Amino acid sequence: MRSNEDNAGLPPVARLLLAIGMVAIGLVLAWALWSHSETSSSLAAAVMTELPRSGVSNPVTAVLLNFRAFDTMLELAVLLLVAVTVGGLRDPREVSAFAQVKQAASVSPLLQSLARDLVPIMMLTSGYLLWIGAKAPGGAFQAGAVLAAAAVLAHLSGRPWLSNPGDWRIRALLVLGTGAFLVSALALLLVTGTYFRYPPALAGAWILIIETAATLSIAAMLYVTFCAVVPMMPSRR
Amino acid sequence: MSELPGNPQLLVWLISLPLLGALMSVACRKAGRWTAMTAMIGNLVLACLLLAATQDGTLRYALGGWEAPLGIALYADTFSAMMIAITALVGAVISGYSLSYFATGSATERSFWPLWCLLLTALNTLFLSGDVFNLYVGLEVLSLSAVALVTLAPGLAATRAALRYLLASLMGSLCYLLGVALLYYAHATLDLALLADLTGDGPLERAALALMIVGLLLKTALFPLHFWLPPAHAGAPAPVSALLSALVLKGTFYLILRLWFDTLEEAANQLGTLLLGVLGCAAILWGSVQAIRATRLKQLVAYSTVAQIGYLFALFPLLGHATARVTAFDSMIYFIMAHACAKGAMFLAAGNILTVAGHDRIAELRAANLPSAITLFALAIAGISLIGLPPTGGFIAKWLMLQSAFHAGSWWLVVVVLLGGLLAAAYVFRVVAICFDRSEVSAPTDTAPRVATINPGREWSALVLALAALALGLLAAPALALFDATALMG
Amino acid sequence: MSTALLFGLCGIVLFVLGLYFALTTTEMLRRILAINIMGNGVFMLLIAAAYQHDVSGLPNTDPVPHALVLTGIVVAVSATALALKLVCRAHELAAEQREEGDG
Repeated sequence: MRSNEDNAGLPPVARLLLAIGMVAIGLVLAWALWSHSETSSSLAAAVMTELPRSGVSNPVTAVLLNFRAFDTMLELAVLLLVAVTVGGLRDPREVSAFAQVKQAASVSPLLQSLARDLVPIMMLTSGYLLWIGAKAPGGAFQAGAVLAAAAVLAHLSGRPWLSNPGDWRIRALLVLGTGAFLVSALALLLVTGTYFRYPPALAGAWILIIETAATLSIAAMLYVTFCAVVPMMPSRR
Repeated sequence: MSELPGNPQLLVWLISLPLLGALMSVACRKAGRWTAMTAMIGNLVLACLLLAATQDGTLRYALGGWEAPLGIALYADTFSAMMIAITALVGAVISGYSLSYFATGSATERSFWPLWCLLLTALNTLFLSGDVFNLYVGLEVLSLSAVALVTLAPGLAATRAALRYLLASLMGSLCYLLGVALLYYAHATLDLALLADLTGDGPLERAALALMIVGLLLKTALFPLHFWLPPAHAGAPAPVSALLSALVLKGTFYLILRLWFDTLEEAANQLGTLLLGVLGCAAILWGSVQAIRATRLKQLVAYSTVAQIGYLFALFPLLGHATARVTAFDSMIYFIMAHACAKGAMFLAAGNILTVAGHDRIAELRAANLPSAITLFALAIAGISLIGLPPTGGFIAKWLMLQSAFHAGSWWLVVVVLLGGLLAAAYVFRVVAICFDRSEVSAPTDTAPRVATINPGREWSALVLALAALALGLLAAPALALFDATALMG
Repeated sequence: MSTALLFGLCGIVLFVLGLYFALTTTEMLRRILAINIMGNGVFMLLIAAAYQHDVSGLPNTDPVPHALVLTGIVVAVSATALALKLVCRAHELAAEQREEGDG
């Protein structure tokens, strides 16, 4: 797909100059990094000190869902924003290249049986990733991505999980992730007096609830974004 | 935290309320406009409260009770409160305009409200957040929602403009993020206040500052990195153009200012300050000349934004000056506020003209149907503020800038400012003269095409913003008393 | 040269390569890919920042950059999705316009 505006591209001289410039930038950055190679400061100690109060034992999850939960809330907002926009940009008449792929695939018995076997396993995996996130690498994003992949696989094998992107249930799922963060942050403001401060005793359970909501929402958002390029009609034959 | 005056909870509400508005307008689509409007008005009230609260001192709020460097802190002084207040005011008026701009229940309208609420969330986050990575996420929410808003305009040109805007913006974000990564590599902290203490003027800090500033300049569209701005701002629907020009650019500019003069001040050097000033001057001249040459009204207004952004950067050498900086800072905040009001009014008025005339080709406007005098009056006042004539906010901004430049002995800046004013007069009067010279319009006959009418709300919103630009000129002393120019310049 | 520095330098190389291709290519799809490579370079530097504080051989990696990278990846995925959708949309609209021009 070429942009028709600047088809010509850059003349070789400009490319050469640009390349020299890039090498220079790279060297300057490398030198800057080199000049600072040995420092001993780290946030690892701070995270480890507060980890027992965070409600989870996986430090990365503690950072994402507790210490820097605000980042994660905004990041879910980014995902929501894109899902809403891309869904809205979908042209109802559009029949993209995906349509043919899907129609060819939907008659393939191989893909159908693959999806039949894999989709439940992927859903289970997703649940496991969500659960294990409190202790080991895993969490809402990994779980949500796997769940979305299951939905995409089901979709490609002719069993879409979604028939109408404007459905209220879908919209509810889209806002669920950011909403869970925001509502719990505000509820915590009322309960503990501080935005996003979980009571240490309940933090683990609270985080798990938020993560579950986020997983479902992330899966829905990724799936809606995917569906925006694929026609909606189910073609089971 | 209790020893700080004011209620720091305001800070979290300023971010939560627009976000809540966005979520509600996605969830209940039919009532989307009203939930969003409620959020906008609530935001305006909160902004006023914040402005009052910061008069007694700065506010700081550690989210989740986790103090930096582990957690994220929100922070507000009079400067950020001022930015939030002007954003809330201009945003609320543009929201009022949008109520009658988008057809009720259309897909465009349903997308507009959540996106605009998210844009406001991002702006408030940029003004309040005290964490460089959180600012990155805020920047991404800002640019993606801005791009998404541009895509609300149908057609190939707008889609291409949005794509170009998106890619430029993404490259800008990544440059910024690389700077953040470098800073974290060396100092293991993301908090602005802590970084200000830790960073010196080593090569790493300089590289990080350069990367962050270049990334943000790309998003702020300083000449010569403005290539994406005219198509995007001219191609978007009128209220979106107004939001992008009046508010979005100021969000990234605010961040540049914070980094350059506060957080990484030691790494910023005279040469860089001068370079930014020279680019600012170039932007004033180039943007104005392009505005004079523009054939379409919205294009003209968009190029005028390129020029007006130039003034903000032309102030940099003065801000770096030891004695002229306080006046320069007053001038900067005045440029920001006056431009937000005037440019918002101008884009809204241009949107009215576009709807009524059916096109915005300047040469043909003389014979076209035009909206009522309210819109034309708004256009004229906004134009006068952009030129910098009394008694508007633009005049106060330029007056303060000239004072500061005299003080610092920067005669070249004086020349550029005066020249920029003349050029602005050329492009403003070119439009205003056409709009007010109705001699060629024949009286409407039965055969004339039906005149498109617009909701009076659209005309009055444009006028309200223009009058705000006027009020800024008349109420300069109380407005300047609201913020403490020495706060930023530690 | 420490491992962290090596990875950090690789991250910078990736970033610069991505930047070069993003600036020189005329194909939108390649430009989007190039921008993603720039992003991966940044993420690599962040991961290196997590690794460098490995004091006296103990596995004492910093979890904060890991969380930042996870957040960054989700943001990058979202932005890429939007960019791809816009490329598709521009392509369709251009095709429509050509058809209208022919017809």
